[in-house]
Amino acid sequence: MSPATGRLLRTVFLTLFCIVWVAPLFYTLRVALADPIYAQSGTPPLLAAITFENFAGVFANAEFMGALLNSLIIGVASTILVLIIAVPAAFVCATFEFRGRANLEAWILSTRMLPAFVVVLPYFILFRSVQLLDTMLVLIIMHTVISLALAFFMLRSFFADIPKETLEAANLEGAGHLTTLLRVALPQVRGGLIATAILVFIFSWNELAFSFTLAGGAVKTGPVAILGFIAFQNVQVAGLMAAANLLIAPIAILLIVAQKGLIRGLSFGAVRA
Amino acid sequence: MLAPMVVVLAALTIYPFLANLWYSIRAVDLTQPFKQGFVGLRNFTSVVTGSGFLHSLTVTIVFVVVALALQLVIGFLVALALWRPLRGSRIFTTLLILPFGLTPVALALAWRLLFNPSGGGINVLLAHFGLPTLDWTASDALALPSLIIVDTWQWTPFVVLILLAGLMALPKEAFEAAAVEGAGFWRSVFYVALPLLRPLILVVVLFRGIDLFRTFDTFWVITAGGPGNATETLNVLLYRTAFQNLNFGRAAALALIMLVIVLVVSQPITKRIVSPRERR
Repeated sequence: MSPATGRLLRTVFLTLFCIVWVAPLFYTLRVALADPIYAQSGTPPLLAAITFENFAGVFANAEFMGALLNSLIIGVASTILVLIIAVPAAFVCATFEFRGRANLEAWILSTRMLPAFVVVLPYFILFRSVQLLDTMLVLIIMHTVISLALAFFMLRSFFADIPKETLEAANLEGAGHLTTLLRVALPQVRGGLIATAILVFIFSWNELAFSFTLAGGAVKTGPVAILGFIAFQNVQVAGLMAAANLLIAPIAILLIVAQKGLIRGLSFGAVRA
Repeated sequence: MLAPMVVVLAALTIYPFLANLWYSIRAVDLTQPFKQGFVGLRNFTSVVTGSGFLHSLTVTIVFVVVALALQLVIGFLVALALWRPLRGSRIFTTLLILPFGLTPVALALAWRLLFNPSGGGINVLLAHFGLPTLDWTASDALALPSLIIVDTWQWTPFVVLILLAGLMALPKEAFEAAAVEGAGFWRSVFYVALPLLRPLILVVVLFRGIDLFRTFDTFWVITAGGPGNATETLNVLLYRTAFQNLNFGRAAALALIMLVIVLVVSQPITKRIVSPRERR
C-alpha cells in the first residue's frame, strides 16, 4: 500500500468516525433551532424552519436561569476551595520525599473509585440531621470533596515538571516552603493551575448524583432543573433541547480553552498530552 | 500543608465507610423512624437474596465488559489513524474532547430523543433509507445495548486521546528496527506498539472500568433502569433502595458490597500502575 493510499484511507476512516461522533451534537442543536411544531407534524428536524424562539423561551424561564446561576455560584466556590486544599498538598508531594507519601497518594487515588451513592448515603443522613439538606452550602462542600483527587494529581504532575534547581535556589535564598510555593512555584504552573480550575469547575457544573439527592428542591443546579422539565409530559422537545444546549455551551467553550490540560487531568497525570 | 487534604480525605473515605458499616447492621428505614435497631447481617442477606441483586450484578458486568472492550478496540483504531501526521488532525482532536467533557445529563437527553421509537432521530434516519426501525430503549432486549452505544459514543474519544498520546511518546527506534527486519505496519503495531503501550492500556482499563461501574447519569436520564428492570445496574438499584424505598439500612449494605467489588477488581490493576512509579 502506497503512503498516499494509506493517507486517503485514514482520512476517509477518520471523517466517517467524525461524522458519527458529531452527528448527535449537531442533531441536538438542530432540534433546538427547529420550529417547535415540527415534532407534531412529523417533519424531519433537518427540514424544519429555523427559529430562535426555543432559546428565547429558555432565557425567559426564570427557574432554569436561576438554576444556571446556582450552578455558577456552586462551581466557582467549590473550585476556589479545591485549589486552596489541593495546591499545597500537591506541591508538597511533588517536591519532597517523605515517609508515607506513596500511601497518601494511594489513599487520594482510592477516592476516585467510590461510587457516588456510597458517599451520598451517610452524608444524606448527616446533613438531614443538621438540617442542611437542600442548601447551596451542602453542594459546595460535596463538589469540593469529589474533585480533590483529580485536582491533586493534575497539579502534582504540573509541579513535578518544575526544574528542581529553581526551587532549591529559592530555598538557598532563605525562602520558606510557603513562600517558595507562592512566589516561585505557582507562577511557573500558571497554565496548569488555570486548566485545573477549569476542569474542577466543569466537574461541579456537570455533577448530578449529589445535586439531586442532597438538594434539588429549593436549590436546583442546571442538570437537576433540566431533569425536572422532562417530568412534564407536554414538554416541547425543541425547548428541552434548547435548554440542553444552553447547559453545555459554556462547558464547550471552557473545554476548548483548557484542552491541553484535560487529558492530563482526567488520566490523573498519567498522560501528559 | 497536607493537613487540610488529610482531613477532607478522612471525611470522604473513613466517615462514609464507618457510617455505612453502622447503618448496614441496623434497621434504618426513613418511612418507619421508630423501628430502628440492631439487625445483625439481615440487611446483607436480604440484599443478596433479593430478586434484583443478581440481575443487577449481571447487567452491570455486561455493561462494563462490553462497553470497555468496544471503547478499547475502536479507540485504538482511531488513535492509530491519527498517529502519523495528517492534515486537519488538530481540528479532529479538538472535536473529540466534546463528548466526554460536556454535561452528561444534557447528552443523555439528546440520546433519549435520538432513541425515541416514534420520531426519534435514529429511527427517522433508518426509515429514510428504507431500513426497519427498532424500539431501542423501549425494548427489553435493546435497552442495555442502546446504553452501551451511548457510553461508547461518549467515552471512546477519551480512550483515543490517551492512546494517541501514548503512541506519540513511543521511541521511533523500536519501529525503525522492526521495519529493518521487514515487519509490516500491522506486525509492528501488534509486536512493538501494543506491548509498549501496556501500562497506558492498564490506566484506561482501570479508569474506564471504574467509571463504567459507577455510571449513573446516563442510565437515570435515558431509561431509569427500565423498561421493567432491564437496565437496572447496581448503582440504580442502590439509588432506588435508598431514595425510593427509603430503606437506608439495606442500601448501606448494598453500598458496602459494591465497595468490596470495586476494591477487589481494581486492586491488581492499581498495584501494577502505582508500583512502577514508586521505583522511579
